[in-house]
Amino acid sequence: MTNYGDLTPVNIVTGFLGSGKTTLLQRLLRSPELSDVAVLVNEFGDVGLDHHLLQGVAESALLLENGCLCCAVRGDLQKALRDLLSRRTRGEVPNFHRVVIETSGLADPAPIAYTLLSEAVLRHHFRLSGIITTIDAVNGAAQLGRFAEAVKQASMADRLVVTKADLADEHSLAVLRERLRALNFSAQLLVSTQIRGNQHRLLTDDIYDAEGKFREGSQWGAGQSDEHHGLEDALQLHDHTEGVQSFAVTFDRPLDWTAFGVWASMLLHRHGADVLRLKGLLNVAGVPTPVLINGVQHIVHPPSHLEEWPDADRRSRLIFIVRGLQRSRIERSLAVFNDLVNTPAAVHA
Amino acid sequence: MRERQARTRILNTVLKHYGVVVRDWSGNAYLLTSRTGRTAIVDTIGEIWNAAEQLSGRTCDPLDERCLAALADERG
Repeated sequence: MTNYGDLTPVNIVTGFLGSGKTTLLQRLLRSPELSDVAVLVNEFGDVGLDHHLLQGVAESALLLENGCLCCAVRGDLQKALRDLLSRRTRGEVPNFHRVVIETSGLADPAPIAYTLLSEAVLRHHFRLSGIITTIDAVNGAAQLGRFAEAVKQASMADRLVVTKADLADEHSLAVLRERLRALNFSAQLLVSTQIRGNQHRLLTDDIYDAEGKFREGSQWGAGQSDEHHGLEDALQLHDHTEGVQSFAVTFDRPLDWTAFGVWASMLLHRHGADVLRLKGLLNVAGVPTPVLINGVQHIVHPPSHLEEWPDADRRSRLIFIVRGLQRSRIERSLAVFNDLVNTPAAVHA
Repeated sequence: MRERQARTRILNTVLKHYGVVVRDWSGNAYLLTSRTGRTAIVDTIGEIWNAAEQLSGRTCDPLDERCLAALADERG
């Protein structure tokens, strides 16, 4: 079993057409801390223009040839990463310590994450470091209203980066922020013009390593769910286009781990395609420290224990980003399953 | 082993609603049996739901209100 820390971290940088993925990447890759990054570029169309833009920045840039990184061409990503591995072993490329995959503007990031986490060879060499999604400050809100791809990309992000903010007025920015919060309140929301100093940390602050897990868990404070309920409800009045919403559920009493596992496996079996993200900091019965779970659609990272609670709140917090699933039904369902083992849990909506 | 037994108990409570019984198969697989005696063996919990759907001809959905009502009744 390969140690988690020995796996090469992979960042997925996604975002709708023209949202500034390449510009952001070019900027980040100038950081000395990111001089040993291999970049995989997936360009939609005949000419891999992004590849040429990036080539001078990252020597080991490769180009994936077959358009979107969706399920149908997932084999290309598999092959590109395996090739990269073997070329590194043979010394044919610089000894990179991180990989960045820049998706096409229409790509669904889920199959990319799935490939990394489940492919037989890749999962022993790579780990998912985080999903970054760029959103154009000027056109982003309209794109989220019109294009399912844009909604999916924003919903699956660990970090949302608003680009071209200098071209948008305050009101438009505020509307976009609210829309993004409603879609994915658990993601870190950043404005590219305000990212200064250690900007490499946008890539290097892993979501899933020991430090990152604690940081992420701290951000999933139960208070966030309450804070955004009103906003979420208000926005849904105007935005039914994709039916994607994010919300948090908290449980006062410890969860039974076995019942939770049965429930989660059944939920993902039936609704995995519509559970875009499932994250949680769980107070598990009989376990003194919190258990962190983090899933991308059908795939859930192996659960891990944090060494301590990030704050005084000992309630379990589960964050859902779902498409077309009723929040109240999810809450009730989990409560009913948890009750099957005599640990009744009060749900706080 | 204890957790596996607990899991099997919970699975049986849920699968009863679909007319399927599950048994631990030597600690490394699950044996599912339908009311008509049809059987399936699966290795993991994730595979149980597909097998149960094939045996019962019904969709295993934890958000289905009838399923939830039946499970709530189990608790009285």
